[in-house]
Amino acid sequence: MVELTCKYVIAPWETMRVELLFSHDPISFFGGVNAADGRVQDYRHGNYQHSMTDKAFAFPFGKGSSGAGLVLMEMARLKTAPAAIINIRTDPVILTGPLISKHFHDQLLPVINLSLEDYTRLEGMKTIELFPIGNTLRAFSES
Amino acid sequence: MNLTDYEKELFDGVHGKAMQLAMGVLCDLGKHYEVERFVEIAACHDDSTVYLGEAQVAFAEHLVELGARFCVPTTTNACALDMNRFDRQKHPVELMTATRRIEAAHLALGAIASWTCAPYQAGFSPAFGQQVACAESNVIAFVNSIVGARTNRYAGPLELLAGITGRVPYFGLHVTENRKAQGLITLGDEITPEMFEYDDFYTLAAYAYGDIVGDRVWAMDGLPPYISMDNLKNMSATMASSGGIALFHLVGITPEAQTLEMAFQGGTPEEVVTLTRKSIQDAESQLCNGDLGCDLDLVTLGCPHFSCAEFLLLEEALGKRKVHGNTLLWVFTSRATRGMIQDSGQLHRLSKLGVEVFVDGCCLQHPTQKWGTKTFMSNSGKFGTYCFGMTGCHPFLGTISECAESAVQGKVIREKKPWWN
Repeated sequence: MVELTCKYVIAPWETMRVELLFSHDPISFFGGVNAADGRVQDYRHGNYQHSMTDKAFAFPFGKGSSGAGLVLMEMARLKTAPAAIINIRTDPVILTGPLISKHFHDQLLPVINLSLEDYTRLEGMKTIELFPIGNTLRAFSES
Repeated sequence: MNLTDYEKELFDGVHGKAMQLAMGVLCDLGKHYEVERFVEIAACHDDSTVYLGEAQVAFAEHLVELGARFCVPTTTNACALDMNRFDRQKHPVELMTATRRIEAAHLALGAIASWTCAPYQAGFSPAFGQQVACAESNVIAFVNSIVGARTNRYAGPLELLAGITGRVPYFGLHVTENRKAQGLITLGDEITPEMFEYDDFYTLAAYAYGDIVGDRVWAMDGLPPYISMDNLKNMSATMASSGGIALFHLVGITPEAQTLEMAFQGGTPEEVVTLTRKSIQDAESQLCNGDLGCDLDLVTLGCPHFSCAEFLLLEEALGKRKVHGNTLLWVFTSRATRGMIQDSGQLHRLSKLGVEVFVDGCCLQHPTQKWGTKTFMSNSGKFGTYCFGMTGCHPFLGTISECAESAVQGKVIREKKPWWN
């Protein structure tokens, strides 16, 4: 287990432990993710064909189309959304879906930022634990 | 955040529930980026228009029910289909119904019915230095970089909230200092001026740029100042697809980079990367896949929407020859541009050659299965980047003239390029 310092951009309402889907590749949710089944559909992406549903999806930052917010909102509606998003930096394109879900729909999709160094320490980890307060998360190599 | 008296009223719900919820989101966004205040915007570009699911339609309708209304001129992006010719495109009627609901909601919010992903070529461009809120990755890159107006990458439907409140947190690319280039791309010796004569060179260079630069602000030096607006449009769209580019500087070309010193705001590049012939070849292998000469099902142009200048290039390249019977040549454009080519007689001439011109819609929303489309060719690096994810097929890339030639012959034709081995 490692404990890493993080910034909770949107903190969960309660402690949660979820499976981790880790990637070194930035992603475009529009075109790159199938909202219907939560799978990565961009063949160039390291998580191609993997599902992010109910997992903490770690990607360094967002790229590509600004349709990401609408895709994430639709994933929330279809219950295919990730359980949390972990980035090195989160731009407004990625943050839009989680922020609007929080204010307009009372649904929470936690968003967490890590330093580049700590982000790379997530590689190979199986599960992570997120907390409603504080500035740490825990990563576990076993599921 | 420091709010003005008016902003406090918006936040507290004095001006209605829609304003209150919108300010809640925008203040949270501001808090995340540690922003001190809001900045008022002059215009907004609404990209919550291509149907991506029920959540999007429900959200826009919810805003209408709450009594929301845009308080700055807000243009609509392309939607999923041609609203009057969706049946010819073989789009399902359900997609049409959903699109009409989007149309009704966004027009009720007070949007301008521009329905284009190139509003800056349809009469809706901000001025240099103006603060705006744009969604649609190519529009963001174009108005920041080529026009010199200021927007962050606002994702649908966040831009709706900016348009409704008329303001955004004052951060990121709204602030002068953050618009300075951090790194520099130079052209290596292997990149020769003869390459500048091929429009696809700019697309490939832009793909490589986005791949290298990611989501940062960099500059590129060495491109010729006579580069066309349509190549600048395609570069914006391509960089914003292969990377998360919101602002790029082309030294000697774009307004905030008339000199290298301007691009770096008096500083120096933290990093310099040289673009080589291999970078161009690698980009081409991402955007153009398959054997030249194979049968071609669809040539799709207008990603972003085709301009009047591009229609002229297309007609010239076709040279009065008809599109091959086994191939479709589809062009996507704005209502504004179609109006101009219709008035000039060009639309009629192109139609007689078998060119099909669609408005409103997006070429990436292609009903691949209904048409049985297997081979796609386009002049767009954006289309090329998303083609596989959206259609399950790898695309071919070519210049407008190669696309026209291929459409006439019914098979993929490309000229030998100076960067090929």
